[in-house]
Amino acid sequence: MPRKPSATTLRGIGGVAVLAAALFVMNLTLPDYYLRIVNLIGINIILVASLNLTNGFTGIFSLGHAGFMAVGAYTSALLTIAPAQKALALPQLPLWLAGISLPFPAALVAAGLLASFAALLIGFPVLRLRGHYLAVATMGFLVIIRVVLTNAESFTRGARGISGLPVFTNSWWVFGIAVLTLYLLRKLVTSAYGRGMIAIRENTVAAEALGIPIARYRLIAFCTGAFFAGVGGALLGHLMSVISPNFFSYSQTFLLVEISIIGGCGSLTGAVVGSLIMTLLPEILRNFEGGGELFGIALPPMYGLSQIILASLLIVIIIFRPQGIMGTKEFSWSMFGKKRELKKG
Amino acid sequence: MLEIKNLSVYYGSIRALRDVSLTVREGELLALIGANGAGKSTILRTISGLLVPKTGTITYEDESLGGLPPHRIVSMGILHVPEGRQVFSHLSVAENLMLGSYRRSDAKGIEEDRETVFSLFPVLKERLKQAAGTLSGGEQQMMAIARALMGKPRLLLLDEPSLGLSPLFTDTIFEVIAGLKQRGITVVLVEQNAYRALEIADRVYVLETGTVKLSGTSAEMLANDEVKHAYLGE
Amino acid sequence: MSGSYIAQQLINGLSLGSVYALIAVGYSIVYGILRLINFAHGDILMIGVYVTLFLMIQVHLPLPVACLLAMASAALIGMFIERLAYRPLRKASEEATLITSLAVSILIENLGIMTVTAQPRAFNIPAFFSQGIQVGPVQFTTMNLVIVGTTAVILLVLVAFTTRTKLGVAMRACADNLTAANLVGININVIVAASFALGSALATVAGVMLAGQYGRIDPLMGFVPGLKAFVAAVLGGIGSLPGAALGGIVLGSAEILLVGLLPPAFSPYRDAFVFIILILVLLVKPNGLLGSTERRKG
Repeated sequence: MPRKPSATTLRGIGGVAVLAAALFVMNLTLPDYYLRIVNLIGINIILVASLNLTNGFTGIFSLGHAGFMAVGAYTSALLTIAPAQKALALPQLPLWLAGISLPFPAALVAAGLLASFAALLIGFPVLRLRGHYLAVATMGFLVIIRVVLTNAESFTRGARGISGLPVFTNSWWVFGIAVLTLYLLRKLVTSAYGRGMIAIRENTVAAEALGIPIARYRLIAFCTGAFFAGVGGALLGHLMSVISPNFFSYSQTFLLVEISIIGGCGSLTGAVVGSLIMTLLPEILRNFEGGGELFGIALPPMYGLSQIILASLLIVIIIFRPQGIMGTKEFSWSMFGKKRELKKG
Repeated sequence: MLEIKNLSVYYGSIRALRDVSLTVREGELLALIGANGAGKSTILRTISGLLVPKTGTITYEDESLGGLPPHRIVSMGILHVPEGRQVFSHLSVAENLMLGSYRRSDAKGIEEDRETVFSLFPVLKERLKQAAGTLSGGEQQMMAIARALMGKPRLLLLDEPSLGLSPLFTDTIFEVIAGLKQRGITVVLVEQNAYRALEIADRVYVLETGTVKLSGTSAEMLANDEVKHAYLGE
Repeated sequence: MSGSYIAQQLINGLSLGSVYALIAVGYSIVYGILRLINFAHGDILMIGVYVTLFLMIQVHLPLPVACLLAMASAALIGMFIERLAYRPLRKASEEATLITSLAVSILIENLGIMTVTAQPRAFNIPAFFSQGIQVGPVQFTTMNLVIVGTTAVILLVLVAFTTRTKLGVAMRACADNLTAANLVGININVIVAASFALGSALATVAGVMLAGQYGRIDPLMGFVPGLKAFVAAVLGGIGSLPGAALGGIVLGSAEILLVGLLPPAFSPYRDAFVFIILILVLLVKPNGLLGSTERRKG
């Protein structure tokens, strides 16, 4: 007897259909600038959801996410740029790389895998650390990645960055992958693996006593998070068409952590809500940075204003609502009926 | 001297004390006995300001202590020797004692108290330059008490001073505690070794799961069958 | 590679190390008491440098006077930040305070960009400081001498302060055992404020030294030296003052020597070396050279 699809599945399909319709309409109506912001929201959802897997669910406080994004973005750039263009821009590439030109999906997977591999290399030693030692070590990883990107000129053109990445990224790719990311991460955190990860966050000693192989679980979470960071970084590169080491700075890592905290780092829904707010807000604020007029009052140029407001907002949130907007709650249809909370560990 | 009324204290969402009332009279040695988790240490920690009560009042010589920070309470002459001694382990014995008198500025009085402390615990004088963390458990306990005495206490709160000590050290410490009364210091003693506590205490409160179960003079308690059975192992 | 070349590099290393040491001391004092990595520490350094520059150019004060006044302002700002952003988080998790300090760092940097613009400015020191001194084959500047000498004096004063004065001993006591410090009647808030003030003032000195050597300053100048000084503090054993000083000097010397001894192609990688050192130290000797063993969390 064929199994009837459950109500949740139907609602999920309905939700995706609504999203698709919305994207379709936006693609027809929105000017490029706004469409780019919509795509940035989607990319941030991918990045922050994956950051929440490590930082929020597993309790690995990593500041290296921008590093994995960089690995992904450069990987995908080198794999997709046409050989003729590479011969001009990157004449010193080794032959096997110079001649390669992969289709976008293959390059995205490669970007994710290489970022994961970098996570494996760095995670193997570093994940033995805890708390803010881990945070600083992962930040050190970011510094190292940036130094390498800046200096390995034959692969990266150094501080000048690589331009002319094929603009493959569009909202179908972005939101297709965002939905897939959320779906996969949701599956992961509700699986036995995911419960193990949450157990590690809540009480490492108890988790160990239960026979959860802590080191392996942490490494899996870290590499999975890095995979999506790599994919997100690649999407970003193919959206902007330009990448340089400065794209993957401390501020980028900080922005992701900020979105994660504000949305609620133990929740995938939080990643969505946070990305929505925290992508739009800086864009709105940025309009005021160059000076202008608000309610008839002339404003002087205030570069840095959006960062100042966001950083202050973050401090206020940490002091007054440290669990963020969603806490560890997830969106569910029953939310509108009776309240249900995802039980911790 | 100190009056606690209807005190309730929580650790997060766990209630450690429920509606506790007790009185400390000037000049007495009061013992709090009871099993682990009965709330004895919690009472001391709340008096000294490490914990903030949820409800209830603590009045010390007509002044309310509830919610005052620990350093203000120390200034009022209430000193607390916590469980596990809590010495400054990387600082020398001399520095530990100096910090004991942190809130005092009467150089002469401090010097006199140093001499008194050395007469009570001569071993400390030999260890002045040594890091406190390198002392033996018994010596650390002595130093913790000495440090509190350097603060010129009028009310001294002692939490499990005999915990983990050899019988010999325990004797020395209890001898000193019993002698504090002669120095005009009122003492609240928390002790698991109920028998030792009853030997030197004037009055006793028996606590059970966060409430006061019984109270009375030591003699009454020693004669109480329930106390004998539950706490004195007879 | 000649002996004099190595001696030359050692002098350069010692002066860079002195700068790291002064910054690292501030990290270490605050960490020792609050278990807080104050990422904004390097940005306070930047503020101190800008105040110094302002006082020199606008008020025409001589460098040492300007620097002293800037130290005082940085101390006030450090205390202000602690009161506003960190004190409400005394009981929060390590991660929460770490993120807050990152936020404070970004906040200060952008306030800097907004007020003094991101354009680098010249930081000119009196010609006296850039005079060369030749000792045999080794050459250094008065600036090198002043940096190392000032640092040595400051560290000696610091040792005296933390062992001979009531406030200094109380600071060490708070780092040693916060509960016990409470119970002997130390007002923790006062000590924390004092350590922020002290750290910020020392960072200002370090910043002026950096600015004097590079001749240029900008609002982001503090971040990387701040991070490296943190590495130095971890290297020496975070929470330990002598450790911070030693860690700074070892790290500065190692950085300069690595750059000086490796082929020139590697010298752009110096920042990477520093963090590879950090990761190695954390893995091999997580309590650092002089750190105590019992207090690192899980």
